Amino acid sequence: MKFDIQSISDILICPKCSSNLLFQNESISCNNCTFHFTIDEGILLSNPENSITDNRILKEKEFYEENPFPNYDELESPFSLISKAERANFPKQINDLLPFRIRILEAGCGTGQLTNYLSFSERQVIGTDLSVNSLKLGNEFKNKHSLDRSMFIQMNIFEPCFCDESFHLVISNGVLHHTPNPELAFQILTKLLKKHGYIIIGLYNKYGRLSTHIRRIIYNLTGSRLDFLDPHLRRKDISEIKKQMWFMDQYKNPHESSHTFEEVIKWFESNNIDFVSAIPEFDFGTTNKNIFAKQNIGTELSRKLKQLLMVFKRYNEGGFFVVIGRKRA
Amino acid sequence: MKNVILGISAYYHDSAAALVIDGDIVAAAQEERFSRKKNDSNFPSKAIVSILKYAHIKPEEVNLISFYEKNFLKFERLLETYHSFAPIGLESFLKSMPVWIKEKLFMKKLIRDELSTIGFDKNIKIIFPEHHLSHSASAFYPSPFQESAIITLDGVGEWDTASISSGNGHKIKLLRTMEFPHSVGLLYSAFTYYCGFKVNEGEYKLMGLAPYSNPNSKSVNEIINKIETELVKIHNDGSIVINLDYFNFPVGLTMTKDSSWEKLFALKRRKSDSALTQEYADLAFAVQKVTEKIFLAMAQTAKDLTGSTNLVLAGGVALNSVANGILLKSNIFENIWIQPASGDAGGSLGAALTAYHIYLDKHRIVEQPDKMKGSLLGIEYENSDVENVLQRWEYQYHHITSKDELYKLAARYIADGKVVGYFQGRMEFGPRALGCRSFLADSRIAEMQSKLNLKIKFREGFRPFAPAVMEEHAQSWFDIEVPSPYMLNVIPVKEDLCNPLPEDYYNMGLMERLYFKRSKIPAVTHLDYSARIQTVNKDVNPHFYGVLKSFYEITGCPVIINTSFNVRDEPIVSSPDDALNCFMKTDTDILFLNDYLIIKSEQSIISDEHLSDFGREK
Repeated sequence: MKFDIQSISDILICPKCSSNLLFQNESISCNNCTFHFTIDEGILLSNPENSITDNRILKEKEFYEENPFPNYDELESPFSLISKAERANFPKQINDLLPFRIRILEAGCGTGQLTNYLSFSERQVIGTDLSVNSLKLGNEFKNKHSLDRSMFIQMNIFEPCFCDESFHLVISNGVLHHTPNPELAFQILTKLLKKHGYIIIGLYNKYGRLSTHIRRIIYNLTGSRLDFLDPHLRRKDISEIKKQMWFMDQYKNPHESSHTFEEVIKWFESNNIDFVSAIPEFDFGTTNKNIFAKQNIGTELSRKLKQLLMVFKRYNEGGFFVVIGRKRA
Repeated sequence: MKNVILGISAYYHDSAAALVIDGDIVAAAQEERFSRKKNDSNFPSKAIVSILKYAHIKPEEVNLISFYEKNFLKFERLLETYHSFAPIGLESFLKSMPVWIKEKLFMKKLIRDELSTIGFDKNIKIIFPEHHLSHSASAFYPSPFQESAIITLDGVGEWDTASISSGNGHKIKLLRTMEFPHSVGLLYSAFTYYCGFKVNEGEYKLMGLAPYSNPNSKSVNEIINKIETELVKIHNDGSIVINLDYFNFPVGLTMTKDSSWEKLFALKRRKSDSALTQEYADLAFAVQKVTEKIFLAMAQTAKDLTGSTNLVLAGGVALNSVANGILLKSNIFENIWIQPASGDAGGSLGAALTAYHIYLDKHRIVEQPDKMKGSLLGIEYENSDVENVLQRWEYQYHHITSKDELYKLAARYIADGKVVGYFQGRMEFGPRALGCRSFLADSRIAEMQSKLNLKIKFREGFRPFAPAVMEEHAQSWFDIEVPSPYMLNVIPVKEDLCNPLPEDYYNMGLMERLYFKRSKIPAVTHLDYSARIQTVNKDVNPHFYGVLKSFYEITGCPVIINTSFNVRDEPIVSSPDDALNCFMKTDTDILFLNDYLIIKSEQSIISDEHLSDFGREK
């Protein structure tokens, strides 16, 4: 499968006015308005900062331009990226269960580690993010190792540059809660999904995030002197740079929201998405590890209890949960 | 009535089944190829069902089951070992005993229960030859020798860790054994563990790492000296005594006593995901040298005891192709034959052959070049099976109706620098892909090693690749006088094909050294100018030979890279479905599936109907 900018011309549209684009030599411009993409080392840049009016989005962009997260410092080769994905388990689980020859969008890909990882197999994976510096890190890795099935595009999630129903899978992991309107962002992403396609979203949980909130207050009062309060920062098996990046991401991020299972179920309902599964599960006694296999959605009580347990249990990224849904026909 | 014997190995690692009918090796396969779990140790039900189906044999037609080891003896060894070390090892004892008491101790019942689920009679006769007899039988009976010395070497069987026997006709006479815990296999595995690789899987990696050492450096010689004075005493006859002050494997859950090793080598045990440094390469090299020394001494003893000019080998240590190459060059024996499935999987074949030749006392007919049929003993698929899979998943494909045309096309793609997945005929038995479930590529392209490692196999960049060469051209390209059909010997590349090392070679980094272009076939030339060679005979493996011959006609080079058709930590592909999954998982350009050609760049995005394929494990 050929995969370059030209080959996705059928799904690319103008992020400003949704009109078709004109592809001429090295330039991609809108047929209808003044918008054009610039291309930097293969990254499509939409330069959205000029038109973003919401200060929260701009601050978020600035934050990730200064702190691209996570970096590739210890990842020299595809082998080391794969080893990292296997240690983390979740990326490997997704990779093992996805079909080939599909189009994937990772909205808010950051430095594109998941985008690059999923592209080792025969799939077209597009990673988008607001932060150019983050995208550049992902793109450097892609170019260094000639990964020709991943591509990076700068995109504001609220101004998508893709036609409706372009992707078989949309992933947005740890992103929506850093936007000013997560529900709207979710709605936009679901439109990009093909019928029967899957969506994976990862969000901070209102209950699970409690201890992080408390630590943030303490850190704001005391600086980072009491960093031992965060179990991640106590770890001896990760580098100081990684700890610093973690600290910035968790405690210094300019904007974050947190959400409940119920909220996500409502988002799913109002956007024509069927619940498939969740991590942690919404119900007790669900043990199926296949995240694309239908799980029990549980009851209001089970979901409440599960979330309460998140206060005490240390899930990934302090109070993070992932929900997988499938678009109805 | 035919004697239909099913050999089984299971419950330790790499389970397998082998079918022997009237002394003929009809079929054999490892369970991992069907279960898709690397080194699967479960009862090999799927392998049994598949090989019986291939041979058109019904379960009720099987007269005898032969299991590759005696479990009571193994249990006795465990009990005695725990008793000798008590109270040390209590944790390990408490972990292993319930499994033994519940399951393994009553092996006959366990096997019968498993067999009955796949259609066998509950009362079928089962015999249990000893572990090292199974290995000896797997080495001797298929070999081309009427009489021979036999050496088996592995981690541990019941009590034995190594054996020397003599084989004559259909008789095997045990001459000498070495007993647990004194084991060359476990010594090697301890270093595998200490260098951060998985035991029973990472031994190849340790062997591949060894050439990154500087063999003449003072530090390497010091390490060898430390191993021989502190870790293991090597007797002149090749027997060894392990110093248990340094090892934890007899009763512990780990291989080494890390604090003692740290003190001895001034080096911490490597974590599996941390960088490989020169120190670990030096350790790998040192233990390789020690292994070779033991190996040669043992071979000399076998020669002295038997007086034979022939030697056959089996057991996991016989897969150490570097040591095999040294043994070949030593001329202790005139002729050497090594069982290609030397690990425990081959125990199933040995068990079946033991049952036929020893238990049933049946004569043996020696065949040339051997009775292994090129180790192509697995199952095969019809073109219709392949076409069904291709159509089901909407692949674009081309049907190549002439085999000659197929060989030429494959060779052309390889010569053009493409990586070709090659799936033809019967699957190989044993750990090596011998050209029927292989990735093939051009050995003349230096960058091919890193491409194959990083983007096809997804593994460490230092891992070497092996060359396959047309048998009649082997002597012109490699320093070898006899065929090496099973990729079990590491031998030098011909000197006139090699480039000299630059002066600052040993000051270069590990990876810089790797990328130095050593010879005309750099992608398969190891750092020490050696190669793990497979010679391909046109009658034994015609599908593979055809590609080599066409490649030779195009390029004038009869050597191509042959590496197993799998990615890291996965078993070699077995079915067309497996092959397509592996093809799509990697940067492989071209796939030949029986008579069908699939070109990666011609494939398109799947239709929406296939969205139901999410969640299908591959």
